Amino acid sequence: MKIINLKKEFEEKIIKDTLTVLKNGGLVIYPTETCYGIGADATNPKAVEKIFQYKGQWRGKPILIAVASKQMAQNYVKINEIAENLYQNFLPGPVAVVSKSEGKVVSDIESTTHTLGIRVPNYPLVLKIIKAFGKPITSTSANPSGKKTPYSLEDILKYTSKKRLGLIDLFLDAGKLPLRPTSTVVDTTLNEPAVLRQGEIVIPDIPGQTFVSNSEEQTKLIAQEILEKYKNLLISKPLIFALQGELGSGKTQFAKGLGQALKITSNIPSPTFIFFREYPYKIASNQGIFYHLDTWRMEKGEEILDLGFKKMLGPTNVVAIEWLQKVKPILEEISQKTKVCLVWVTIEILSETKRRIKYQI
Amino acid sequence: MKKNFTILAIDTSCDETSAAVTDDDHVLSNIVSSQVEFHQKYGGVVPNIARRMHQQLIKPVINEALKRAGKTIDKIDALAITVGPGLAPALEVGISTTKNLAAEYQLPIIAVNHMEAHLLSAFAKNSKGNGAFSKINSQFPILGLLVSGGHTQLVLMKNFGKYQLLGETVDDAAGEAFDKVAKMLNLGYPGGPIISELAKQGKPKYELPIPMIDSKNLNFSFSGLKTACLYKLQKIPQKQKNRQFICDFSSSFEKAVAQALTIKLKSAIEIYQPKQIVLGGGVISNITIRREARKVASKFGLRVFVPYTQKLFTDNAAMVGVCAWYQAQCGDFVKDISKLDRQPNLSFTP
Repeated sequence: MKIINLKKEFEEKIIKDTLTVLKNGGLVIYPTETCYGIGADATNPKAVEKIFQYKGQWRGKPILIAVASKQMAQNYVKINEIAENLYQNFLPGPVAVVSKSEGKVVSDIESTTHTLGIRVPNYPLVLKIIKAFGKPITSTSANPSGKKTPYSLEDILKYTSKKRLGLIDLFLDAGKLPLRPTSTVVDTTLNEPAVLRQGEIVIPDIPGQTFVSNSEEQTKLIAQEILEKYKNLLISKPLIFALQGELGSGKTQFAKGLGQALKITSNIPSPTFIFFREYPYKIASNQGIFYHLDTWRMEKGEEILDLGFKKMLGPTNVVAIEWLQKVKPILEEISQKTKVCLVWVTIEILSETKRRIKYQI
Repeated sequence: MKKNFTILAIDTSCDETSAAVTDDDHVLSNIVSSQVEFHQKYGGVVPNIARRMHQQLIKPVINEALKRAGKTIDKIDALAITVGPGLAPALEVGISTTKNLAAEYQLPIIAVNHMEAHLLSAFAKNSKGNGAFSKINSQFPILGLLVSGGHTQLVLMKNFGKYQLLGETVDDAAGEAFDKVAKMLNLGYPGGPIISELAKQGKPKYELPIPMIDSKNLNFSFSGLKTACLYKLQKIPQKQKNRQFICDFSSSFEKAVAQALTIKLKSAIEIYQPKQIVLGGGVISNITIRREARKVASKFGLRVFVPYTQKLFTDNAAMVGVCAWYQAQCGDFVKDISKLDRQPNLSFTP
């Protein structure tokens, strides 16, 4: 194992030596803003095999990869709106974003459901190396499975067997790193971001928020407030409000609030029986149609397509869907293929008069 | 206008595909391809099935209606079609079929408001001329209470073709509340009629709030009652929910709905002093609701008229044909058929 002291060597030389190791399918231990990570060419099966040998972990457990930028990430995963948000707000930084894999890395490092976690380490030298390499490298902590998370060369030497140390070609020594927890891993392939591993960064409901409503009137006002935030997007794409909540939670009240914000004066009754109702609207910045849908009487989500759902998705239109569980997969597919802004709204019954309203894009 | 004006009427406003032949206000045939079998087979109304069924069934339903009426299409004087309110893609199927028939057989079209047709369903007579109004003349103004899965409305009828919407539901329709509470009681879909049946064997033991009792207008609201049922049911332990409980709860719920309807009916009578009352819509099949409406009306010395057969309560084309006949007498035919279009949000306009 060759050790390069980063404080004493020229950057060009460090990068050149590291690339040589990576290109030959070797392993490099490198510093990040959290702990030391171990890197190998994520597209080289032999290199990845060595990582598994070093880590000693079972194959089903996915391994994160590090890329230099969101542009680079796009070659390897499908970035949806939730992921987009995280990239914008947290990367580079100690957050790993899990998205659907494009299948361009060694499949063993993907999850069994073909998702892939991506890091953009907030460590300029590492980003330069990855950029120069032009391919992602693995980004797992540099300790064998079950051993102490390494923050220094000593940590590694102390807790790793000689046999395993023999697999490592290069150690980029930045000294003792601050004891920061490992990255927060967020799965964005579900309809709400799910934190798979909590690190230092706590993902707030970005850019969403949670409200508590004490009455039907307040639920309507909250709906208006949420619409207000996204109203400007209507110039280029439709807004879809996916309303989740059990019977009697106030989904229709929320839709009524959207109608009020759109200055629709007619009554907005439940569309349960009729499946959907349409209301033309006109506000200062825009005009379009407000569609209010309800899948309660549908057996399968696909039926929404027979109602002409895709035609409803013209820019400037606002769509509210009650009982969206049935159409969730369709919505997710559409939101990836079509230009839409999908707002997930969850209404939870806290008591007879209280509701918790959460929203997220 | 000629006597024995024969109309072929079509209604595809939502779930049902229906066609009927009427002779003036006499119903000669009324075919409803009731899709309840589909509800039960597939656990809910399926719009793609509903729509495909409209397309597949509309021709057979029309042929059956003509056959049962003993008519061929060359004996038809006009076509009547529901243009709204309703489900847009479903309405389109009926409208395009009607346009094609009109072009093929050179027939005029009468565009009908589905809710006006419900309102006039009590005026329908059977082929022998018997109906709710066969022995008594209509006296205006008439107050109409329309209660169905998609609508709950109070309408003042100043004459045929002259209406004023007095009130309607601001959220759920009464029939929808029936179906949703039935779901809470695990009675399947559509569970409304089952609640009505079970309620007959129960007592209204459970206290439920009467929606909109204090409101000063004639609108209805059933979502509050639905939610109150949910909370009530959550508080009752599962093992207590035996058959008798379900019957008693159904009876309590039905009573609350009937009261919500009749309180507003009473206010409307006081304000608008109608001479007669008509009822329409599928939920009118519920005998408690009919009985309570009659009780209120009798306090004012008013008679309540309901359609002569249950087949005219739920969505059907015969009521569309009867409504169209009244329109035809005023010369209310579609002037430019090419411009005839669906009006999913159609309402009563003064």
